[in-house]
Amino acid sequence: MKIFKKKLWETLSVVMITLLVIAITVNDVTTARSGQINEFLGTMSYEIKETEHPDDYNEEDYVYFPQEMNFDNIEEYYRAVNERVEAEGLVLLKNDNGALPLDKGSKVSMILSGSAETFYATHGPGITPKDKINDDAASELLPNHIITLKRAFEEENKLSVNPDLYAFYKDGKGKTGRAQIADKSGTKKTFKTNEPAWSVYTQPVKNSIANYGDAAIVVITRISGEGDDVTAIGSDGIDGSYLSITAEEYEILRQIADRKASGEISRIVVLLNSAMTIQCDFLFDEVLRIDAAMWIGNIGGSGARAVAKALVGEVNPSGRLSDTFLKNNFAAPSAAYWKVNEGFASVYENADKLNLNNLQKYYGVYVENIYVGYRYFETRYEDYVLDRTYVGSYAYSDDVAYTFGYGLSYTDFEYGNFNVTRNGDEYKVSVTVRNTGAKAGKETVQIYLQKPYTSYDEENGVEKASAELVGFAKTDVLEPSAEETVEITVNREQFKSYDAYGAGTYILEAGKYYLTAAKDAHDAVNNILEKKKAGGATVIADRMVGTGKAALAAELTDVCSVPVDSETYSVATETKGTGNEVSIVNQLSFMDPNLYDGVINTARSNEKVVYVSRADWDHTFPSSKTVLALTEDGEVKYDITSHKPIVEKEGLTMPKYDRNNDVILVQLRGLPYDDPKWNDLLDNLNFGEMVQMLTGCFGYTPAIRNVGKPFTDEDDGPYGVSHSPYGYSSMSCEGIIASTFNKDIFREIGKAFALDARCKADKGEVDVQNLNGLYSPGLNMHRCAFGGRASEYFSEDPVLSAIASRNQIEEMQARGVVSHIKHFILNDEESRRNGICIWGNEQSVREIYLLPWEWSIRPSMSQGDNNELGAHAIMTSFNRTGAIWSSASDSFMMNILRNEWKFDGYALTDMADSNAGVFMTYDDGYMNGTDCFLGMGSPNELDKWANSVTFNNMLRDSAHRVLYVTANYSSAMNGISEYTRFVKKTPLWQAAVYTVLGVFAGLTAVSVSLFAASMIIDAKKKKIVAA
Amino acid sequence: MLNFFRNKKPYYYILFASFALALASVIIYVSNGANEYNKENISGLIVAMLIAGMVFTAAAAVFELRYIKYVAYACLFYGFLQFVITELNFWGNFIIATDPVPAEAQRYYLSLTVIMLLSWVTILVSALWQKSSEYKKEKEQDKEVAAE
Repeated sequence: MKIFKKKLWETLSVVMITLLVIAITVNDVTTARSGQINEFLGTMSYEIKETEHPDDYNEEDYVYFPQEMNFDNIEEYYRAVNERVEAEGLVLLKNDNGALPLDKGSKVSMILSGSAETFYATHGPGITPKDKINDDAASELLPNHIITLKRAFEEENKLSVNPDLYAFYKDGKGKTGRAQIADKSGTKKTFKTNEPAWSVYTQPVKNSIANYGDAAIVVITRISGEGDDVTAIGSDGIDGSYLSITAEEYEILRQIADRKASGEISRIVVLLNSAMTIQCDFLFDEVLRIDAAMWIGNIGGSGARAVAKALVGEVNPSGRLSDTFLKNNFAAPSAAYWKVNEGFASVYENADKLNLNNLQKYYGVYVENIYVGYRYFETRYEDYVLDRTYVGSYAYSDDVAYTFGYGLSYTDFEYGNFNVTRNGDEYKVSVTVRNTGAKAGKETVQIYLQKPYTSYDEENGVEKASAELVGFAKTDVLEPSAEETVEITVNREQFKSYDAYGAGTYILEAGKYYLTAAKDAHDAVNNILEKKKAGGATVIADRMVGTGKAALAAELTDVCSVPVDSETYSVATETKGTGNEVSIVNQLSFMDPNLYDGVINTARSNEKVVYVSRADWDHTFPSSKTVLALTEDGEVKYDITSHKPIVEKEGLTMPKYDRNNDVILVQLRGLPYDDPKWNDLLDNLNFGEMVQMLTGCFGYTPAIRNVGKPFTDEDDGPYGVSHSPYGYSSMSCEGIIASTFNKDIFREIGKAFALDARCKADKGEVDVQNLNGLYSPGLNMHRCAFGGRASEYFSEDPVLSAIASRNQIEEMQARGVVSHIKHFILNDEESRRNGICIWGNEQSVREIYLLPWEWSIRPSMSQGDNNELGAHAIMTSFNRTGAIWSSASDSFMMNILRNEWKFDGYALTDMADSNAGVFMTYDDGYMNGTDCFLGMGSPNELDKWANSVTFNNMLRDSAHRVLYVTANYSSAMNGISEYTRFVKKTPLWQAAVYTVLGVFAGLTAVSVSLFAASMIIDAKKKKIVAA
Repeated sequence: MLNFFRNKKPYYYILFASFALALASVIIYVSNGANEYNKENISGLIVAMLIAGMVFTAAAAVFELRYIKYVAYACLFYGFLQFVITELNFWGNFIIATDPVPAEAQRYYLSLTVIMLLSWVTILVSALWQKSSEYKKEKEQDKEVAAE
């Protein structure tokens, strides 16, 4: 029988076995990652069925978050918001002799490659699609397209752009690729500008400048983004930094200056196109003859229009700097640390001996203490002017180009009628702003606080800055001669300081406090100095830079009646009067080398880390390497190692599972977090479902059918939906958002993000955008100029960050888009972010880095009329705090976040499902308050802890938080009623995988059987032949 | 004994190479994990498949049956695929280098991958070579029988 041909069936068997093994593997992969596949394909593993409704059932009653906008009108709205943000956020830094605004129709030459290679955004569509760039004002603006500077300049004939020069940069010899060059290890990149030299410019291009000489608009661009800090040492900037201008740029500027001197060019305007603080020394270089400069940040998809309008005076700049711009970036103590340590991340001295891996061996220290940004420069300046002991010499003007809060306008404003009144714990500050110039404009009034720096502070290492922003307000558009009185409330709680080394809690001290209304941080200190001078203090006048007004400062002596009050703010505000008051005590000693035994400094025995202190500026400013090592055993070995043993807690019982008591999630909507009914719902879950819900949150949270939890879809999006297919979705960077100093704009941003996230596109092949959450806003700090992710964070100032964040979040939450603020905590730089140990002291961590989170989360910090709309989700960070992964730190995740601030939301990790994230372990995370892992899911990985009562209870708490947030704050609940049931459904793709698997299994069985049969027959045949 | 080995075809010796590669895979994987970051995460399934592959390879050497080689091949191939998919993210980190994997870790991981890959390729080559050789022999025998 030919059918039993042995060779054929053997060959087929081998082929089928191979295919079967591959099919089994494919099934393994797709089963484990079904959530992600479903999200990608837009399919679901369940379908919603409605049970019988009562007669009065109304579908609209179950639309908890109505959709306010659809795809047809979102783009126009979103573009308008982007333009408004950029218009109010761009900052006019310099405007000598009224160089700006330009006359409409001026002929301009755009200089440097940034004019054609403008940086729009680090996330989302802004960075990638060249095909979405639209630089021809004569063409129709196609949907989704990014508006370039050139197009915006030429729209409505605002400006006429030199076409030859633009073409030179866009497609000619001037086209450059800004480089990020990886080093040999493959883990470190060097950022270089690679600006073409003047010698590359052809003669016709050079000649063309004279024909477009009304202005040279120089676009200096610096890119940055996730994964790397920009290069501080070894780049092509003149001083080796990526943020200073290069020799090529300088030469081109000099050539342009020569043309200005010869009359070919009338004025030189510089646009700083970067989210980071480009070093501004060159703006003061007389050789370069620069007339005007404007910081425009990363401009988003439509921000170019605002820039164009500002250049021709249709927009009057009202942005104020959200960061201090320096003449020497290394003058900041955080950057000085970077320089002396040759980068932020250092390797422990004994890393090799201890066999530490790449996720354990790096560290960085926040030696600058609370002196981040202007807090350092202004405090040292005041100490110098007041000639305090140990101040050393200090030349403020050598360091600072433009301080925090600074910004010019095309008009002038005067302040008057400054008044401060106290009402209980609130100080009402009012000031009248008058437009004394000739053009209409808005003004930002900033209120700064100065606390007394006492002998107690010096003895106990409590630091106080000379100026701290505590509030602000932006006027409406004021016509010439018009005035407006603004009122800003400052809470007494803002006067507290954290005393880590003395009282171990927040303190308030007796002494003179100052509140002042100022135009920027330096103005604030000068006002206070004048006030002190008027009160009899000795002020060395010739050390002052600029002048102040004593009338704009108030001296408060009634803030605290005892020398040191360590009681009033030692109890968490959210818990006061609840009967379960939580005391605020030191939580972070484990990350302060000076309080933690696991770290040693072989060069110093007592104070292992020297923090910058105003008690002795000269000797505490970073001037030598901070070399640390770890002790060979003891607590650090425990802290830095993953998979800490689970200690069973007494009094816990194993949760109930699979109770099937018919309670579903929607029935609990609106109930408090601690309502007993939540237990009924949680009893319906089982261990496997909790694992499914909590381990596989890769841009979504999975559906859990039997409790009626819908799938929720999220995306990254610190400043706009990151993976949006739409070019318009890029917003200006967070620094520009912050520099608007406008709460209405912060709220508008939240609204725009939410509406965009939910716009439900249904346009043929265009991807669907219907999100229930965004990983936004980014809330880490601009602690150092070289932080690569500056575009995703607001500011160097915690209060500005906090107010921007809280307002944005409230508008997002109000629309059912869950705001996941990120990255908790101390992920302020990207160097070796996976596992780097961040060391610092508790005062700086609480007052600078935690404060924006605290305000974004605490119910009582509401900026609107609903204190439930604070953040209900956070994303944790890759780094360690001290030696412990941030997300596995009980101190941060439980004691501060949940106990002190009463955070009732869930904590999601950053990307944990990668090999670089293997130290971010499930057991360490769940046992310490982390709720969800951003990854593909791990169906069996948690089985090893399935019998631990404590682990089960921690997992149940996490499930509770996710369910609570989904029920109350997610638009994914829309349409779900008590009559809704989730019915299991096998998606088509999964059915196809099962089918293929079954077919291959069958064919393998058949071919192997036939092979076996053919062998038997063959053997019998041979036997017969042999016989 | 010497005669025993002298009479063996090359595909027989390939078996030893396959066995050695599988053994090396198990030792390296169990002692160092998939890569320097993942030392603690050892997959029991991968180890089981590699050991089963070795056992069947040894059995194939003893009994000189190519059918057993197919079973060994299936085990080693499945173990290899499991290794690749459990480390999918590691591959992802090669390609999307937001957080790049250090070069030494890449080299180690790629080396282990190649060793595992060679272990199932060699046993498959051995089996197919043996199959071809034995069918040829059978064909000749059949011809001889037919001639007789």
